[in-house]
Amino acid sequence: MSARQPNRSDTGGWLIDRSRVEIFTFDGREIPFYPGDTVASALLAAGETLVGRSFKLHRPRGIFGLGAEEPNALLTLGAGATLTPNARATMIPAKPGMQVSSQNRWPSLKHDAFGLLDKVKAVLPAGFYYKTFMWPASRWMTYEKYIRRMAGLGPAPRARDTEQYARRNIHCDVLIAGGGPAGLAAAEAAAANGQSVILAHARPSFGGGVHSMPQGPHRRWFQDTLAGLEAMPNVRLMTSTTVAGYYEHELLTLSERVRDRDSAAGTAPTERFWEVRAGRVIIATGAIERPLLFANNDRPGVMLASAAQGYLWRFGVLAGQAPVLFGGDDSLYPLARALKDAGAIVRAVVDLRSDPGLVAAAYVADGGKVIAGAMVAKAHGAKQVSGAEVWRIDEGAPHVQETIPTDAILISGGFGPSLQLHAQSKGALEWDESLGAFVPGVPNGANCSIGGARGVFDLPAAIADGVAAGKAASLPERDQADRPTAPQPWELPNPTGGIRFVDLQNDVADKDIALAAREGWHSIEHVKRYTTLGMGTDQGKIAGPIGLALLAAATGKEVAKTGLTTFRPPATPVTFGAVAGGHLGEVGHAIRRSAADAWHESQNAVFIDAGLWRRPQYYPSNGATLGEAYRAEAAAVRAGLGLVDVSTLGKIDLAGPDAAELMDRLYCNTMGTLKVGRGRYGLMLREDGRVFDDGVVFRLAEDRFHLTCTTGGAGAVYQHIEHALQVLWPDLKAYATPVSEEWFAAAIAGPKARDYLAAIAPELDVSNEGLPMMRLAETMIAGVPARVMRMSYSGELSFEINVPADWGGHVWAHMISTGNSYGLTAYGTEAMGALRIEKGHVTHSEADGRTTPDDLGLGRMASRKKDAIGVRALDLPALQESGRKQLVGLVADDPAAAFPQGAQVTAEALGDQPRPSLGHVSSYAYSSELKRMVALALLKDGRALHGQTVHVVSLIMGVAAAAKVTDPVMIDPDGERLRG
Amino acid sequence: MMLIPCPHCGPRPETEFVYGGDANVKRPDPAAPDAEWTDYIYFRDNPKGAHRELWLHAAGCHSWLTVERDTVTHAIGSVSYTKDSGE
Repeated sequence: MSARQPNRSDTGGWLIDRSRVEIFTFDGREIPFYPGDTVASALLAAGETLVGRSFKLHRPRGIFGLGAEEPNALLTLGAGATLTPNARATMIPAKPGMQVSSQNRWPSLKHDAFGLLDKVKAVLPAGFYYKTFMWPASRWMTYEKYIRRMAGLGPAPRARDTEQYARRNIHCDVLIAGGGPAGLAAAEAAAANGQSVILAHARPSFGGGVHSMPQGPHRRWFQDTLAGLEAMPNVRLMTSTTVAGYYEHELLTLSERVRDRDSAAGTAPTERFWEVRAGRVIIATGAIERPLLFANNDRPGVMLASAAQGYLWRFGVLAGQAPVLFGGDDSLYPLARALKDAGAIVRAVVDLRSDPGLVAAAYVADGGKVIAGAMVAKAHGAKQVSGAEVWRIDEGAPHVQETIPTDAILISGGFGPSLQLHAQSKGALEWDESLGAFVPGVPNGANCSIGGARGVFDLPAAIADGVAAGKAASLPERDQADRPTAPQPWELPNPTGGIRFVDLQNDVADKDIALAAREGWHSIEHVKRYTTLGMGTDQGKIAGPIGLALLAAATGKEVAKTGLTTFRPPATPVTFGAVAGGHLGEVGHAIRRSAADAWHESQNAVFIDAGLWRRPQYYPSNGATLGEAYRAEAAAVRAGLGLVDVSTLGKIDLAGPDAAELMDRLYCNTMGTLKVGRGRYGLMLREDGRVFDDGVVFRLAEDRFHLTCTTGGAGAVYQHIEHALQVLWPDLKAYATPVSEEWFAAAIAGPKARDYLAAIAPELDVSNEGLPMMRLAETMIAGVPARVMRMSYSGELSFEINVPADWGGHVWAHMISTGNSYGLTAYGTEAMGALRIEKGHVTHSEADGRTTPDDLGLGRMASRKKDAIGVRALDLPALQESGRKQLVGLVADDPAAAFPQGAQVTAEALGDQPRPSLGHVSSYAYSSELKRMVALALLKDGRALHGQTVHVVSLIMGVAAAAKVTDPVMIDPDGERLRG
Repeated sequence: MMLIPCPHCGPRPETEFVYGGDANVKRPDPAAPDAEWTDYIYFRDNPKGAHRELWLHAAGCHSWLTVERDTVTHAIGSVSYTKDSGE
């Protein structure tokens, strides 16, 4: 022991290298450690017992556990761009120069201003926030900023993460989660059978519980087994790798910590996130010790006995200089002897059993102190345990025996299997009465739990489990006799009446659970949410089973029948960086670009996402805003000539002898009669009669059609067609090919469109007779073969030009340069939207999955002379009733009025009375023709309201505007402009 | 994540597929009464256990498949091309 490591013992230390001392800092103080230490073991060795403040009450907290179950010791690593909050000190290897900080304290850990909260615990019972801040909402606004500052864990990093992360996919025959003795034995047996094996272990070195034991033959077994595995080519050994999630059909996610975040970058990522598809899974994740409840059981210095045992043998660290041990089984005594041998003064073993038996008697005979039939009822001390108040509970009423001065209370309430992965895979759970714990029942999928993870705690038995599981043989019977006779910690009395914490991380006490039960919360899922039991980053690994038993006691049910909360991935926290991998920023998702994308970008177009596509929304010349730009673009189309890139529209080629028949079944209107070279607007319905998608169809040949559909609907329409061909009518001889990416498409629109088309397509007869509405012609444009389709979305004389996508950029550039003398204006989706709203053309804002053709004023399109998807449903009574919302146009009365986003429509102006809604605005825009706002709206029996004045209102925006209800076609109702 | 054995592409992860609902429902004749159509459009069984259902291998061969799946355990039985089911 040295002055700087007062709790370091010469005993134990299997995992550390005592040949050199390194340094990291904790809140600016230098902490010495040996290579192999965790942050937790180094802090304990240095005597840093106070490591954090609790989540809600800011109570001082110390290190409680040894591994992933640790509820208290959450620390912040690094700073700035490499800051990681809420790192579990028990799982983080200590590294030289590491910068470690405590959390949730101000101004310092030892003098925390919010520690006063602890004094008012009485006013912060379960459900306090639900009860206090429900209403009025304005009150929450006042309290929120203070509560947010008081509660919580570490700070979220403010700087962008500069680290690299990777994702990998891999297959194997056997995945083994947990590299303790059972897992190692399983890996060896499976690998010897020639199977490909992945052995994943959360810590930097394998061995698990082997390292929590004194010298013995098991160490030789461990070293030989590990050396054997390292030599086998079919074994992948993964350390610092947590198995986080178990999904269907043996897909598991692994989080591998490759290096420290603030270490030199090099080429390796910080973390790798693995998706492993395994033939079968062996769960060897061990067991977790239960604590025992007593007043102030959260004081720094209170620790699980198994953790103290681990710190001694793994790291040569004493949990305290003068500990008291408290439990109810024989496992206490070897630990007491080991601590004594290592230099600690063991004050007493407090044994719940009134007759502890031979092992205890031998300990007494050797000079040890045992207080039988007793419990630790209260911990004394604040920032550090100073005494254990021991009460006798074996005869008569509980009474004080003595208060023992101590700096550590080591508690053992028995062990329960770590159930996370078994439960995530939806395996059954069984309540084991003698163990006082749930154990894995019938598994779901190709997996089995072995060793501690199924309640087998004896070392040789756990290894035997591993050998059997590795060979895919059936597991040995669980030996009932070797189990510790665990006390039921939830049954202990609370004679001092002090606060007893069940969930240390979330500050949930036993009386919170009792209160929740009294208030009628009897489902564990409800109690969890009401009290926040088990909702911390430790996922209630320690708190869950006890909280459950307390609820069962409070509601008079059996624990087995109270059930557990659902286990969800991840079993232990995984960083967002690891899950995202390389999918960040520009490569966050794929971007689909039109062939003219480079030109749009050169014009500083503002883009908008349409599915994966990006489309120019508007071209902000001279710093114009969105509103200014689209109004100018739309006006230019109506007055002269506009050009828009419509490449993103879905295009499907449908061919085959039965293509015409299939078209008739896909569209509610008649398509089979369409003549070659002609086009028609069509509506596809869902089988429930609602409009599914729309677009113009051209017949290219007797047995071939070219379909267009909406940008967003392209994928679903193709699937819909394949459903019709493969599921509904497999006898039809036709096939569909998605060709959206084959074609670059641009539309020209405006009074000058014909003259301009003649200039760019000199070989084409562009007259009304040569190219009437809804005709398709093939010609050459800019030396490229092109399809020209006369059709209009804007309501102007308009042509859509399709060329092979590879030539799109070339043709677009040619069109732009030729267009100069015609005043050609490129326009984006916003102007396109304004033009189509003026003309009453629908998009998915109107065909929103609720509207029928008749709702949209297109009822006459649905032919009843043939069977088409969705047509039969139109005759169902519900779709015939009055009161359905129908499409109308709205024209603002006041040219200066604004239509708000997300507006409702009412018959009367809003006063101080609520008004019933007639319906809602689906799309709106400024009409450059009518010089005011116009909108499309879906109003109840809207067609009967034509000519009436209504009010477009938004309570959220505080806006209301009077408007006239009109036909959806608000300009050029006779379509004269289409002729040009 | 389930692994669905596509008869054309081999075993592939669930993310490549699109769910298509109950494979047992049959589209009625257009002349069938409203009740039969309402049943077809709106009502589906929600069985616990064995279920025959449609899956489209959308990120693969684009076959619609009839898959036998246990809704409790996710165990997958037979998988076949829906168009060959001859029903």
